[in-house]
Amino acid sequence: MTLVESLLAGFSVAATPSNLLFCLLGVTLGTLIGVLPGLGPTATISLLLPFTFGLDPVTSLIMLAGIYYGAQYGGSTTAILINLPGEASSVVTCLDGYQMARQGRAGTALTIAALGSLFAGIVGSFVIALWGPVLADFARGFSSPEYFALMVLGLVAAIVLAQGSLLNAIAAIMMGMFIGLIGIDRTSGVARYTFGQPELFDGIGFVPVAMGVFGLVEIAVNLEQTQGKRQVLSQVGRLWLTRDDVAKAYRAVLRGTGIGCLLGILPGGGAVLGSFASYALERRVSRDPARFGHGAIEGVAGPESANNAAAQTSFIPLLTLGIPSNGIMALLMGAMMVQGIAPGPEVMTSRPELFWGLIASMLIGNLLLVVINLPMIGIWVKLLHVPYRILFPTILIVCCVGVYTLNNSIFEVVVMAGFGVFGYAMRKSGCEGAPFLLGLILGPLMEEHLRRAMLISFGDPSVFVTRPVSAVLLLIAVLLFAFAVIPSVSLMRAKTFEED
Amino acid sequence: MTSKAPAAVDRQDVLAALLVGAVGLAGLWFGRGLAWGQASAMGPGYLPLGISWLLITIALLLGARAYLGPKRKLPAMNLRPLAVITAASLLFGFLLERLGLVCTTFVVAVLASFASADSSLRERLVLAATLSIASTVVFVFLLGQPIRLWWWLE
Repeated sequence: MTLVESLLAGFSVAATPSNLLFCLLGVTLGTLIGVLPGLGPTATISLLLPFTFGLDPVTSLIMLAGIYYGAQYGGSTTAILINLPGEASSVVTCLDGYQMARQGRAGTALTIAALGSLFAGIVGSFVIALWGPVLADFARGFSSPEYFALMVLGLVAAIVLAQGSLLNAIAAIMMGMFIGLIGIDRTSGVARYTFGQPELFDGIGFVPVAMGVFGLVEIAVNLEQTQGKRQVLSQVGRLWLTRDDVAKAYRAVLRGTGIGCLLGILPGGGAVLGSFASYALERRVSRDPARFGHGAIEGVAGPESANNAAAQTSFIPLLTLGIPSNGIMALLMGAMMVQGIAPGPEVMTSRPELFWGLIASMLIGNLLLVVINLPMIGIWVKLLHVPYRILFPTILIVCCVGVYTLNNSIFEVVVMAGFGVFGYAMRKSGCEGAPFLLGLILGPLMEEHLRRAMLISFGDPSVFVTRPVSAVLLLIAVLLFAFAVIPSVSLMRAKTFEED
Repeated sequence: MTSKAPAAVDRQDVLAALLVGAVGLAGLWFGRGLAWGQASAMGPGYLPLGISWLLITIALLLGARAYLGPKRKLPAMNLRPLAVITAASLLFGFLLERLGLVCTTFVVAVLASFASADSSLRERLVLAATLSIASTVVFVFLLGQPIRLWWWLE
């Protein structure tokens, strides 16, 4: 099938009334959580997961994806109007977006953020459509050694690109893998760390863990920060762009889209990295870097395009290789597995409607988002006034009911509470939740592939270096890691995540 | 910022070392009955025990860094919200199948609201009642989840 035919088939899936409805629901929810500070896409997706398991897999994936890229749109609104990033990926948008708002150009900033995101989203979706099948074809010949090597590469990239210390990121991944191995060992049938609890025989569910580590921890951390009075600039002003704005911004949009697409594909990448890298790039190529931080439109256009482009293309490794590139993709991977779909290169041939339907829904969803965000901006501005003391008990109840309805099990509510405490300790000791979640999802898969690879090679570990593809993947992983521990690079790493 | 002498250790690394080390030690202790097997036929303990040892190693490295590296303090912590949120989730688990969704949601929401100090009693009660009604409508009537609503219903 040609690209056009595949895309048309995708649209016939995405344009059914129920899929359109859930796409709209997803992007609206995404915008909502993007606008509300203190509620991120990872937490939202984890707390909505239980309710999507009853849906058709394609429909649920369309909605969950919409939440992720929708949040990239909404996050800019908060950043621009109240100088508070609604999402981590909008942190850099605060720098120039809020300054623009103070100069009375909030409308301009919001428009360029939305239009840049739209352009980037469309390009990103086409990048998936073009490169997805190529990568999947390449990966179809993979067997256990290659998969193991690929997962090692994914984890190393996640370690290198994580914020903060490498050692803490490794610790987070390893703890995740350990928790992931709890339950009955599928090969030997031996129960591991189950303490005789039948609820643990199938392992600890990733949904209650994710809800604890992201949902509950986020509430606790948000509440302990003293909240000063936020000044909302509700004067949005004119939404139209002047010719001068367009002339300044369009190159930034193009560059942001490019860098976002690229960084999104990388394992360990995603929206946050894309926006930071784009801001750094814009400042470097600008003829007058002094304008940055004082309301430069490029400082909004670039990062906002980049985060949306990266949000789209980070689906590529998941859909084609079965490797989640960040915490959100790990959640979606878990959701697919619960739905009985093993993410990997086979998805494209066995479930083409899922792949192409999702891409078509992204194109639709990005268009919907511009409509939701620009003409209806007034509604979102009003939502900024909802105080967190109203919001958090609501989030908690949704978490509790959601986790209970998974299996009508009280046990999972207790697991969630336990991992809330555990996740809080992790957060305070500098271990991030995202690498932990990656380890949790990949741990059992890596064990299986490692076992199979070593079984075929009669215990000879050289199988990983004598097979060319796995050798190259592992070599990249080693180089990447070596590169990250070089002092000058680790300094650069720290700088990329600095706010100015 | 502060006039105090710098701490002798990096508190954040100490906390990380304790957490990671505890997971590693628990892995070894509770997994002591698991067979290692060998590389060509890995036993159920091969990876979990291997990871446990790795975690202990990481914990030791973190501990070493706490002494040798820069000395940071722990990030600001206030355990009240965490404690209240955790208690509220556990209470939800304890009450749900005994009292039913309507009452449980109300009680849990009232308790949870105390994780934040700045709210009036009236507001807490109104919010809890709203959440109780909303969760019944959304989860049970709209989404059709099989949750008991009252304790006398099956």
